[in-house]
Amino acid sequence: MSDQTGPGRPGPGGSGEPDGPGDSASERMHYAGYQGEPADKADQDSMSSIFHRAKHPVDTSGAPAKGSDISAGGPDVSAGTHDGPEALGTPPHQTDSTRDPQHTVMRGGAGDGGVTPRRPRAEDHDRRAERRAERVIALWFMVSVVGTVGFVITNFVGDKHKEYYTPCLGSALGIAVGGLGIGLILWAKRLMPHDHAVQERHEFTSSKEEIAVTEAEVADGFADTGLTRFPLLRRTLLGASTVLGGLVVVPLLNLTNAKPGKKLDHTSWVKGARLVTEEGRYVKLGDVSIGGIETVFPAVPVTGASGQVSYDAKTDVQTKADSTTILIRLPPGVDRPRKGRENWSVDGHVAYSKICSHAGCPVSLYEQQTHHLLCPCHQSVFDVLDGCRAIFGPASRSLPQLAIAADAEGYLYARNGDYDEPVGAAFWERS
Amino acid sequence: MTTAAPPDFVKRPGPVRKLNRAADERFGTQAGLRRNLNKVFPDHWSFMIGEIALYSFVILLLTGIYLTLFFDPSNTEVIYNGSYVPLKGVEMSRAYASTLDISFDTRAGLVFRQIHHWAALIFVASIIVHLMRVFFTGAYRKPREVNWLIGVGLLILGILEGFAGYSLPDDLLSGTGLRIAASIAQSIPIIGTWASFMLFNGEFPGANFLPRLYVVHILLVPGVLLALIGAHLAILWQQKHTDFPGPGKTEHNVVGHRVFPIFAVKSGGFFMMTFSMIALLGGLAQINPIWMFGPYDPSKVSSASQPDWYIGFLDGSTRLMPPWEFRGLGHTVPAVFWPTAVLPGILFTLLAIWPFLEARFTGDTKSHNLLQRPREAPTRTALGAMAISFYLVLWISGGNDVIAKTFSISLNAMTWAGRIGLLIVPPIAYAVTKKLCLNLQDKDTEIEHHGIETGIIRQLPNGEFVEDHRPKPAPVSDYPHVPNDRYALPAANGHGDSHGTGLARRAGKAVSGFFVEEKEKDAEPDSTTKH
Repeated sequence: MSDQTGPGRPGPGGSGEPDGPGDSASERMHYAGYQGEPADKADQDSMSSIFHRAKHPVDTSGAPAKGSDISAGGPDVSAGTHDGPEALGTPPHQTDSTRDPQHTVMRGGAGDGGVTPRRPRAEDHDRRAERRAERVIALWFMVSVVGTVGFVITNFVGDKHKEYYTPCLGSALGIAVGGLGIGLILWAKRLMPHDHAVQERHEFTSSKEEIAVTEAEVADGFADTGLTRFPLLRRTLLGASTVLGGLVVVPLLNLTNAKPGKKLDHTSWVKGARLVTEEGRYVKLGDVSIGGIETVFPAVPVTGASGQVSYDAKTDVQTKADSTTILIRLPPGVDRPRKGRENWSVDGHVAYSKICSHAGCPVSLYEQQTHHLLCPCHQSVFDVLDGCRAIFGPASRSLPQLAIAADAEGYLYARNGDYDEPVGAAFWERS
Repeated sequence: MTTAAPPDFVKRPGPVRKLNRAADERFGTQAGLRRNLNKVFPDHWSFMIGEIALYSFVILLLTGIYLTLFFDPSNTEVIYNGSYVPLKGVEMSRAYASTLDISFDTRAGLVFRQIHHWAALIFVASIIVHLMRVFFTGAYRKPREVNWLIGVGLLILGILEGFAGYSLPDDLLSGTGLRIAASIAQSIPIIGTWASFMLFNGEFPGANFLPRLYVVHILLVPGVLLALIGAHLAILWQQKHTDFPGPGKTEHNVVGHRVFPIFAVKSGGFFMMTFSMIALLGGLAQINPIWMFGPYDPSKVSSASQPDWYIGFLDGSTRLMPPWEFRGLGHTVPAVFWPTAVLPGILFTLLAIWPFLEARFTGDTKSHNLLQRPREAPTRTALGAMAISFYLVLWISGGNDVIAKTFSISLNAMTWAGRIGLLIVPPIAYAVTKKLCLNLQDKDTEIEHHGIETGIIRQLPNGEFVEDHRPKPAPVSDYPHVPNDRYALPAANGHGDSHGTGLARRAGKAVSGFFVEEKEKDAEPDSTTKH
């Protein structure tokens, strides 16, 4: 591959040397088809020219290093017809001998700590390839510009209510940054020297003397503070900082204006509160068909100035968070009420808290055939017929039951007032 | 071979050089600048996973800033009157309404919202993949345990940050997630109720909770994340990156590219590529379409309500947990406490202390800069596989309702499969992986001693058949031996000691002059011996 008669090729000591590399065939194999084989340390000297690239190869020594055998090593200049075990992907059509890779890649010989050169790229010895790479990279940069322009145009001219708007913006942005990214990576990979650099690591451990001195200085400094000599100072300082540190509790407690108290034990249900749907309709007997369900909220009775009772439907978020109740109409005779709850239902209508006793999700899936309620969050299953007992999944408590009754007009209302146990997820203070 | 002689001092500097000199006169930058620009980073695809995490964090910051300009984290109820017709006239919080506005009525709002969400998913995902790379190659070993700890902190904070962001729009899904979070806080023994009340400012859903969450999401957690990422990178920079063993690579060197220019340009390009991929995802792949879920309503839930993927394992553990609630002495420890607070606590603690556990068990107190292949540490690799399988069982169980529905399996069967699988799959994974590693080791030894099978069978004169083996070729490195520094500075100019001066040492030097001057290791011992 290398053109030994190339005019611009100012080889180091071994310039124009006709012999092939001195490596044994087996060593050569290690180079995996790398043509223009490196040679030895003599060659390495010329490698300092890497930073000057090929046009001005600099040879710091200009002569083979001591101990190197020129005839055995030297640049692999005879390899014009040499084919490595694995031919280089791009045939080295060398058009410019000044691009001879041995001036552009710093290489070590076979015995050099086991390190071997990287294969040269086409760009390393072929100016046309280099120009090609440049054009490809420039193309990608231009693609990026197209993307940016597309983004700007879509952003300002596009109709943000149209379906194409977001996909176009995303694609344009992707092209804009992606084009630049591909260009940058190609630039680094194809046009920058692709040699690897080697850097020494250094121990982090300091010397024993340093450690000793540092420790002694800190100890001296600590002694200077007098904390060991003045116990009162030490103790009061410690005490004062502990007390001051305790101050962080204050902002923490200030995080809430509402003490927990018994709040978790109560909901908005009161005695006589009507069951109202989200739309504001009071639920009457007969509104729910057998097997049907209805999510209801409390409509708290308010006695007006003239004595007549009106109902205030509470469907705000706060109330919904704990008072949401599910009203189910069971076929007659299937319900097995618990002891003491025999009269908590009316005509097959039973009301249970919709807030899951596991983690507080609304238990909203009702299976008509099995009369099971399923929580979609963690799949706890409750048996409505058996007092909404938790029969599967992570929930361990039954859903609290709301005692209901029907008034003379048939409106359902909370018979005993609030649930007799906290709704929702359990907590420490709960028995 | 050596580096070139020092270049001449440019007497008439151009503007860039002038700037450089101005900075140097004030801060004395040259030695440090040179050292850092010449810093070598090794090359391996697996080292780029952490970069993805870093870049997606940058993208999160950029898109997040854009979103803060339009988002209104307010619990105040408003009637929606934007351009999304199906929700017109619906009462909702301003947080949800402004998220709808970002999605429908803000220029480039939806695309940046979706990029932000995708970047968050990729952020946590790349952290976990990066963690697995670090774990299985033993990169966390001394001296890098502190960076491992910081990384674990970043993972936890990343998950928290993601959850906070997911909860901000106040849609049905995020509200349901917050409800569960409140229940989890409430489940902590003794302090639970107070914890939940302090978090939400009262009983769930709390009073003005969203502004509080917003500050956590855009200031507190990102601030800590930023600081920890800075520390993570600074430590990496200081300690230098680990590398896989290879020809010429030792415990005492780094082989790769200098920061300037190749590593910087490649990394810049890689950032752009990451951004590009996430931008394409954000533009073309819909994510978290909150307008389809509706505003949060504590009485409603959609079926198959799934959290973002990184919360999935906790969702799964919650689903698999048997209903074991401890009651007694007037108190309750709810079942939800164990899988959501205790389990992650144990998991993350084990993760954090793993480097120290391993050092204790193996008695390995040496510093390591070269990575191991997973097979070289069968026990570690097997434990890692065990942990991954445990996590995966939990994660799959987090979507067991979707799987049950898709494949028409009984949900109860899925739950039981998860419960049993959680106990038996990890030990199996352990045993299989360990066996695999040991066998791979045997194979390596065999190849080393007998060579690679060629498939050529020969019959010996005595009738015996043998297969020919060819020797394994020695590994071929694909880098030349190049010094790190391009120019050698005369040692006397005071810059010669710029290498490997620990902060402590420099400080020590400043304090007192009676240190024994350590002999500087030559920066390029190999290169200087050439002459």
